[in-house]
Amino acid sequence: MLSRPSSLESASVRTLDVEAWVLRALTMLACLWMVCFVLFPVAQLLWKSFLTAEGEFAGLSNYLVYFRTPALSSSLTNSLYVSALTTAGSTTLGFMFAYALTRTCMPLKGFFQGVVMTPLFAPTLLNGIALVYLFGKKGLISQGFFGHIPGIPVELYGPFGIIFAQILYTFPQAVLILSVALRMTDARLYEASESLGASPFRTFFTITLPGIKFGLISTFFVCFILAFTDFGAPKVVGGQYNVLATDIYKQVIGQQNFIMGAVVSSVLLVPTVVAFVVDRICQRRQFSALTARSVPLVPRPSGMRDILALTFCSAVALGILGFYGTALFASLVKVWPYNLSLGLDHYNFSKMGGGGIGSLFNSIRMSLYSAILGTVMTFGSAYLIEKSRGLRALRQVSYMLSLVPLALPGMVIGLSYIFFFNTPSWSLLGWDIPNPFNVLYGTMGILVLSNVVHFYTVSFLTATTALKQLDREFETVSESMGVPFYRTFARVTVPVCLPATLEIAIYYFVNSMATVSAVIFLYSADLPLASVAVANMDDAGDIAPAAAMAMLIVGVNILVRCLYGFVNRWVQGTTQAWARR
Amino acid sequence: MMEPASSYAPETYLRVQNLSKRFGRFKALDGVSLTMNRGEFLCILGPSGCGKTTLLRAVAGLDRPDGGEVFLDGGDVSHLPVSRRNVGIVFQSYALFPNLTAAQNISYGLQTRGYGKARVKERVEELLALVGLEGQDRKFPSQLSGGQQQRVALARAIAPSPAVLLLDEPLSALDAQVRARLRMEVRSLQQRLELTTLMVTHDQEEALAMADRILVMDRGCVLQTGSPDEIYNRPASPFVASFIGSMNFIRDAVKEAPRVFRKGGLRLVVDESDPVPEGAPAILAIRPEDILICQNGEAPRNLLTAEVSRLEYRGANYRVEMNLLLDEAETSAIEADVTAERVRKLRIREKSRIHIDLPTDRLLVYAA
Repeated sequence: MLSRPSSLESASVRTLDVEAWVLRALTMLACLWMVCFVLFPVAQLLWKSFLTAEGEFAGLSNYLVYFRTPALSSSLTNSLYVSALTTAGSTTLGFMFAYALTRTCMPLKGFFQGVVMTPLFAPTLLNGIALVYLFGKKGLISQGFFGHIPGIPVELYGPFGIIFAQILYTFPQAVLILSVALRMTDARLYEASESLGASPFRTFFTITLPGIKFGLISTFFVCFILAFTDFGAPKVVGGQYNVLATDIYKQVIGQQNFIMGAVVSSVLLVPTVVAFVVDRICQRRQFSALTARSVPLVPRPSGMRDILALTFCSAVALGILGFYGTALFASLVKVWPYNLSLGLDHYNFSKMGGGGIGSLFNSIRMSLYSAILGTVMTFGSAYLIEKSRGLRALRQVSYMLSLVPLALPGMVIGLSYIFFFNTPSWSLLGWDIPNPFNVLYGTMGILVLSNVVHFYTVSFLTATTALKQLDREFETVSESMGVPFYRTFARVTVPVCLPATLEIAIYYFVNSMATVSAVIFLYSADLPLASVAVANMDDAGDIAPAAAMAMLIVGVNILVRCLYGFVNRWVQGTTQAWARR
Repeated sequence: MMEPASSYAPETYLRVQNLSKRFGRFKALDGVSLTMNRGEFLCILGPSGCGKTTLLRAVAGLDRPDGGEVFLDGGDVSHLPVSRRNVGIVFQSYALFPNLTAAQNISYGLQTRGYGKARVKERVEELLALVGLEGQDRKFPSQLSGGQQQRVALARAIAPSPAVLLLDEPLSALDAQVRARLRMEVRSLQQRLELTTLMVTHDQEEALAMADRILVMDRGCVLQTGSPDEIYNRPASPFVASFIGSMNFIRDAVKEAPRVFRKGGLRLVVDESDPVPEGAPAILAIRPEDILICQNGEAPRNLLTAEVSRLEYRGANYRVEMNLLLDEAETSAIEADVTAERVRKLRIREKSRIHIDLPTDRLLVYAA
């Protein structure tokens, strides 16, 4: 190569070849990270389901045992049954609520929008606990408000309780997805329809419904996956009605039968993965009906419709508030239902098992770490996948792998992490490969990792969407000026995406606080967690302290959420000043 | 590499040799070569998908070509990444950093080049003045108009004193009036700074107005290189002729004798000699503005009769669509641009029969 003019031979310019390699190495690391903590553990779990307890290859015999044991295999139909009903209920209610929020002129929209998100802050165990206080043997409704009015006896334990709790759990998700779908519309379609003389009924079936087709499909699958893999609700109100998620728990924790746990996990994984893949295929067909020239639809006042919407939303909001209000009340009452005087007795966890108040602080610590690591990992790998050049195939593989965690139930992540991190070494073709991650077993590290993976996909997609909105030539412009990539990353990419990163962090924190399913397998006795304490206290029959602990989780989440609101406002005011005209 | 640097003429500053690039089975660049002198403004003009942006990106070092070399200032830069080629780039979207002010955007490339703080400030001031944005230094891109954003992008690209300035359709995002003004500003700036500039555009007017030389591309190949005047008045092929401006083609003419062609019952004479053999078919071409409307009594060498089929008013002039009478039965469509004043004076209307002249010095000949 000929020598270049000396003016170009400055040190900063020469380091750029090194940078290109650093970027490549980071991209490879990002892919390796997904392979190590998603692909390997799940593959190992699946593999275990084909082995005997002694580690011999057993073929399909474990599955034969599973399907020949009615006590086990009935769970599959049970799970499908409750999930189907939950999905139907949640999608219907969610659509009505979202429609009222986006297409009517009813008042108090902000309030309704806030209330409907409450279930997102709570562990699903709390939904079950609140149900016990409402419909249990001594429940508020089954006893007619402590005997003031005739009670309505309900067979709570079983499908009714599970479906009720899960509709509440999946409802906010349905409202979120469908609101977005209903907002993405072009007013001109409605104007055209009206000018052609179509009835409101016909307009609804020819324009409104087709317009949100993909939103509906997505809602359908998201609700199904959430309900199908939920552990909290059936744990508390399932009674003798077995579902897959609780079966895994019973096999692993109750009977120490890890192999059968792996088999049930695989059975749980199949419908989930199918739903996930079908949803992905459907979404790929989606084309954007919305162009830059679209006119947003502004709902017009309509007396009857607005009143109906307001009535419906008020009823739902009151229901949700009353629901969690009951749990709060129960946690404060001395002895339900005999001594209704209030006090904080149940908030004194020192006499209880499950780790006491310390578990709450462990949970906060874990959620904080998960939020930090999760944000760094999702945003970092989304940046590498979206913005770096070269290694195209590898980046595509990384992208695909980043979507996989969405299809993984928490129980599956938990159990596969037991197997993966507990293995001291793998033997491969006569070689003994020591497991470098073995040291993490039983530490805070494994809990944080499981959370980061558990909530990876949604955060990753949020980061990707934010990054896609940045001009693709930012990196090329910087490169042409000899500015290293990390400088542009720090000075432009991260500051511009700050709102999105905050959103990711809060999503991680709130979910890590509330989750039970993955961590219940992974926490160690000296690191108890609040959500697990709720499950254990409820198991022991200490339902009021369990409600109290769940309320504390909700409290912390709401507090952090408010803090996020303030930080976000500050961010918008100072570092995002450029976005204002 | 292959040739020693000393073999170039001293003023050749940028040389691209035999670049080729494929995307799958599609040939984006098919052996493209070009040279540029120091301080020259070269415009690459072509329809979309002709490979002009691929060529620019290959010169910049953003994409690696499959084959060919790029020499800059006597050195082979073919294997250097963009950061080591010392080029300034302005993209169609400008790619201004939204969270940085105009001044911060302009100084972006300076800070890593070991400029001191005081020198950076001085240079930014200088550039802001140069592009006429004094006092706008603290504004964010979203607070600037499209034209102002364009100038910031230009200032940012030339701030580190690049060897070559590369412009990728830099004006196409602006509305017509701003575009016309910025065209002149960019050109005069380029001339004052004597910046070697390579611009990609699909807008022929832009290319004619700004460039020292134009390179016309289609399907990954160079069709013609020359001054704007040469490209417009002596297009090398019917494609170039029709791509730039409008052009009438008289097809299926036959060469009768040197400089004499026959089409139907017409006999047309041209001034310039051409390589078409006698008796062979040829295509004659003439621009609408070169066609003259004759008054009674005038007798130029290519006097023809035509019937006006349609008049399209364009303000300063009319586009007159006519049917040329070849013989009793046959006609051929032809268009002329005539000033509004002349159309009024000669009372040209639809269906009028008029006499036109295709001046012998304006007729072009292509082999069919």
